[in-house]
Amino acid sequence: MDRIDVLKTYKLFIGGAFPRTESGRYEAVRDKKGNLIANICLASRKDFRNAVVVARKAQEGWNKTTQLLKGQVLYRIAEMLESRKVQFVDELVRQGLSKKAAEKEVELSVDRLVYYAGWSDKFQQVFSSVNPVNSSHFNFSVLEPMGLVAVIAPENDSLLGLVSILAPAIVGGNAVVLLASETKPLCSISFAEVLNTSDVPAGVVNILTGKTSELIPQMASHMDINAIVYCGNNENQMKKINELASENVKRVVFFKKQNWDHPTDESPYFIEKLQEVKTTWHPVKI
Amino acid sequence: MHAGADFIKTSTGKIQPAATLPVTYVMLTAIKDYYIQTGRMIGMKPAGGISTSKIALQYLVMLNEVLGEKWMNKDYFRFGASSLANDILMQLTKAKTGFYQSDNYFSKD
Amino acid sequence: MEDTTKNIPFMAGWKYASAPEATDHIQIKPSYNLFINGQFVAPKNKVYFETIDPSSEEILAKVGMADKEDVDLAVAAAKNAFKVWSKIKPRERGKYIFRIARLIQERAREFAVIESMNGGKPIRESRDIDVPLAANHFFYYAGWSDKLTYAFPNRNPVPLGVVGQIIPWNFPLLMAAWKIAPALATGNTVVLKPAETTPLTALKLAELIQESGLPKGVVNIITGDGSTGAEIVHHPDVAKIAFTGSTAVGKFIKKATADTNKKLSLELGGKGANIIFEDAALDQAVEGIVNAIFFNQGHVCCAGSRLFVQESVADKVIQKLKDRMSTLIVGNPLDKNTDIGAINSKKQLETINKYIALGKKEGARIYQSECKLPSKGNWCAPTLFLDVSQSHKIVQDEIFGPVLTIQTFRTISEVIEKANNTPYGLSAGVWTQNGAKIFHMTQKLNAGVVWANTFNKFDAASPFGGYKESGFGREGGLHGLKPYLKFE
Repeated sequence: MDRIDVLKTYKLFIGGAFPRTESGRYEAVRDKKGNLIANICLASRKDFRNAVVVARKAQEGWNKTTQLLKGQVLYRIAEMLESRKVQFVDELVRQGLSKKAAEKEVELSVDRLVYYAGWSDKFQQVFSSVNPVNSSHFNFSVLEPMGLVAVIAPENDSLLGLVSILAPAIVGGNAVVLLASETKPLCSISFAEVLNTSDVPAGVVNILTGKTSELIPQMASHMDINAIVYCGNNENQMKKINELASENVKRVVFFKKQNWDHPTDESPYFIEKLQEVKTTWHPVKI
Repeated sequence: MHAGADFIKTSTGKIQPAATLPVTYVMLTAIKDYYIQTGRMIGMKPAGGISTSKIALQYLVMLNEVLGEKWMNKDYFRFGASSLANDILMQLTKAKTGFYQSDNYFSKD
Repeated sequence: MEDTTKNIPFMAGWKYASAPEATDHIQIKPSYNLFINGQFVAPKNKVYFETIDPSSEEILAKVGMADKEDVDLAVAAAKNAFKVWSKIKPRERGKYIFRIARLIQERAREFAVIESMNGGKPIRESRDIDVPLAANHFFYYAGWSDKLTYAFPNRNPVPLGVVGQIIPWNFPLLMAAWKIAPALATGNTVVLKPAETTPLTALKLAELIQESGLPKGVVNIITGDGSTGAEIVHHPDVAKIAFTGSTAVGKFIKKATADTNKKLSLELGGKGANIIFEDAALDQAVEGIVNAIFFNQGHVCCAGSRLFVQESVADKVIQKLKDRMSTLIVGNPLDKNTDIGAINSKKQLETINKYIALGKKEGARIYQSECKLPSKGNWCAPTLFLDVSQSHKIVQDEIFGPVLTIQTFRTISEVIEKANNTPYGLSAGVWTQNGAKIFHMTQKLNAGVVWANTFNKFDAASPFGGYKESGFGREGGLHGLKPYLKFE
């Protein structure tokens, strides 16, 4: 053996930095033969809380940037992901995908980012309105981001699913704290590295790895979270989320679908789901 | 100015933000309007945050274009900026030698 | 009203050292051929014409003069390419356009410098406005490629085929972007003719498009004069003409295509009213007046060339405007200090000077800022005309230069009537701190774009275009897709 490989330490992604979990807990991820691929952090509720604090701060600045800039940033993410295609294919293959399926998943992920980059300065044009009210007022309704979104990412399609949820959330001006696929967590942290080199402001996207069952109650109950997106079909978890979300009337979005590779798995309505409608009245008569 | 001030200045540099270009612009146009009304020239002193020659130049350009040459002297325009002097010295030295300078070579008092 | 400028002590004293943008990194070939079917090919008649720097009158390059035969080739190439291009998956079509946007961003400085050299506009404008906006336009429309059904729900939008696009000399690259980007996003193929005096950035864009890997023939760029444009207009295989330029030529095109099924969009002249109310933030409004009329030497179809100032603040505004004008620097377009560059051509300078002479003859009072003009090249000092009325020719005609007419008004209904009293209807500006007044004005003004407390703002996401003789069809935004689609 000429040289031994240098293995990557997979950590969390919070506020543009890669800390280890404050809890010190980890879980081994192994390939089919039982070889260790990586020790993945098991994020704690405190990691989640820390992520919420930085995400809340980051959201204000991110929302203020122009939609053109958000589009350029998303396009940049696509460029960076495309240039690391080999790495992601390799990671997906190590987690059990065929090479062909892995390549397709990475390519679709890149294209999906480009798709939402394109929506950045257009979804408002499709969803907002000027309302012809019955008085001399100029009345218009626009979409505004809900704010801080907690995401439980899809278990399958660990990269494509994550991208499919994340891109519409952030292009609409939200900040996100995302819990990655529990069984296939590798790509989420590698994707964090992509985000971190793509001019995404620190804290706009935060990615945790860990136990879904453990973190869902924290995510659903946190009073400073505006919306929660749950991808999965565990009826008990959904019920729990609905119950806890009622505390601060969090918006709840469920995606029960298992796969995200269909053309209908991308749509401006996924952006709209995480937006509020704001109506302004202004007098016209002088 | 109507109370008889000869100079107006932004806040001290001790609070943030102190002098900014937009704030200074507003004050310069006030001086201009006051001059048109009364014929009396008032001085201006932006202070705080003007730490590099480059920023200072931007202020001088603004002064030049808003109030013009009559104000372009020490009697009517001053910078309140303690760290600016060393930067100017550094830039002058750079202009003389052609080498970018380090602040290790300029005394701080 | 007394002319008190001489007594004002606020004249800028310090002169700025010149800060010219470097030209050593840009590449202009001595001669350019026509870009047809993905290749640069010599014009069939082997005729070339010179393109110059209007600030120095130096020759920059020779470019091909396309005639009927070349137009036939370009249209044939576009027609052939349409078979491929209209079948490419919309998503992949979009990716090509994103690529063009990125390439423009990467080479932005080179484009800006050449734009200023060939067109005479200040480098600050080409660098900060023309080139970034051009890239943004491609970026914006790239995103629409695979989203057209959201723009036009319940309809089936399909491309038209070959579109002929004829653009003016005031924003050469930006106009090329405004034309090409939506045409490509909607699946059309293009034959574009840049203006006679400003072909270089369009030809650089052709080089860039060649490098982008766009399928050959999808974009063809051919240089020439009015006769080349006429050949495009008359060509039977051209499904649509998009034209930006003078109202006279626009009318000619409308007539020439009268007995055809060609779709048309026209972005023509203007004589924008810029209206300052007494409750406006006056210093801000003065900046707006300057931007409205002196941006790009006044070579702007939507320029705010008719100023209306409410009587109660007129003296104050005019004085502030004169003060501000005294700081404007006219000169070398490549100098970063320059506010106003060179007039685009000798011919245009003659037109402007003709109007200035006419204004004087009509009895208007002229004021020009005392700026030093370079001895060589085409220059015009920033000019105001006072004591004018609606009946003056200089108030009625589009001058397309740094010449502003100033009228005063008393009431809102009076200014609305005067502002709309023109065959044009491209733009208008309103300056007031009263929001209700803004919306009242935007309802009453017959103009395609109304700027409130700002002027000459452009954005890829915002539709632009005129009422009345300023043309029809919109460019930019969702509405800018429509002129390039038909609905089955």
